[in-house]
Amino acid sequence: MSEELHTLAAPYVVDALEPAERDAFEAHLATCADCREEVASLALATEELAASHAVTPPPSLRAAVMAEVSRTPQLPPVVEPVAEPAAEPAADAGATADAVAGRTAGASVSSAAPAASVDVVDGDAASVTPLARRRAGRSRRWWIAAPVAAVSLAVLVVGGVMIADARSDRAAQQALEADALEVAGASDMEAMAMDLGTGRLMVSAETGSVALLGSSAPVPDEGREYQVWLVMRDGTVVAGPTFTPGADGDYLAVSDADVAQVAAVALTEEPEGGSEAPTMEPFAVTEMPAEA
Amino acid sequence: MTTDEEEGMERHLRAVPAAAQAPADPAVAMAALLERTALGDTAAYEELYGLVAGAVFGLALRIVRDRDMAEDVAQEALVEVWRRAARFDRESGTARSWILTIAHRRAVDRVRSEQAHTTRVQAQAPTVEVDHAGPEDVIDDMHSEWQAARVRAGLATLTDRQREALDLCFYKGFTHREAAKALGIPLGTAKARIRDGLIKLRDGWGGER
Ligand SMILES: [Zn+2]
Repeated sequence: MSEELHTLAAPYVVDALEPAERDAFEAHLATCADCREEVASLALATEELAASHAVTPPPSLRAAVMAEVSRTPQLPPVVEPVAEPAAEPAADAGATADAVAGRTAGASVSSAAPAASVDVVDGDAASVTPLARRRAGRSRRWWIAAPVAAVSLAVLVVGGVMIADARSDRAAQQALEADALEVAGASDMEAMAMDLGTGRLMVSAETGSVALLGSSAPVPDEGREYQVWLVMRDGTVVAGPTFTPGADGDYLAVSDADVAQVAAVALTEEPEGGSEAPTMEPFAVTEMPAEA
Repeated sequence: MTTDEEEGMERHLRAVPAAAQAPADPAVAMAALLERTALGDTAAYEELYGLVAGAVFGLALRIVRDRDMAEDVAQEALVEVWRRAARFDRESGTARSWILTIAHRRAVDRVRSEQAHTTRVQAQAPTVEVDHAGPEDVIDDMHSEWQAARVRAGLATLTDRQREALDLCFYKGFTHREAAKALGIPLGTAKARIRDGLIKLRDGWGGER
């Protein structure tokens, strides 16, 4: 399947991927220099195509856009400005209004969530320019929560969770992305909405896995993570992987599953490291389509 | 947060001819404006708006083919540019490309949600012309004319099959799977046609910048 990944650059630059595929390919891009290069190179052509249709916009557009902009908070750079001195009120306000940076700020001090490992560089970040920080953060855009430490329990419980063990963060992330893409590309893949930011749940019996990905998810409170639960048709609840969204709310989690036996996938917030059984009512539940 | 680097950019920006004069290569100016936008600078954003709104609106119009809807899509895209400005990285592409990518994606998403998947696949005959916006609205300056002519010339060098595949995906919002189905070709072939077409365009335009 992995050679399949590299053939998606062209359809990607013309926006011809399905949403799930697009997300998975963007996740792949974060770790594949060849594909990044191909995308940048093909984008020279799509840029010209896209720019060649310029039409004088209606005058109402400028007013509408400027009005909307005046009340729209901006996303922080990928590495959040948590260590920003108070001398930068504008940036602070924007970041806080976006909620993501605001909530991560507390957590990052103790690096509570593995996903916040971007924040480990905070000490340095304070002394470098915003531009440099943005670049430093770039390759982390699709930072996946919980690759290593936090996951061990869940891995034991579910068995084949594809994150974790002794692999490096990066390798784990790549593996996770490849797994997600495999689900996305499976011929029997079904995608459903999952109510966490703009979440999509993809399931495939063929690959025997469920993948959850999305963006714009709020970061859980300090010391807490999201956890995936598989509600089986026989009523048992199986613990799945834990995860924490990255700086812009992106997240990705993959779990092995006996898909035919899964009745629903649920999400809770659990103490860091995950729980063996849910400690709260799920805040999001997506039911599988009824068996044919 | 004013660093030496940014001051350098501002100076450079002011040395560029006035925006109305359309500098030959506005790429540097656009990137600098976008980076200032990322810091919450609405004046920089409005200047950037002046440089890209026509292309954003025109692209949206070309894809959604309805002025009201195009205005709506352009507004969404331009506000997203403001919102996501801090995520722009000038090392991975030009500001214009970054902005038009946002606009293209918004327009394609709109087309897809407006038309049911199957309707779109069935309604579009595989033989589609790559036509351009009607002349009445096209921004009438030398630069745009030159650019449109170049694009037409580039498209004319493609094979019909490459042009078809690109047209369905880039302008009609087909996914590569839908395009393959509409054209009755394997998915791998569809991907190859898109890629080969883009490479030919890119190489053809490469020398003329
Ligand atoms: Zn690749």
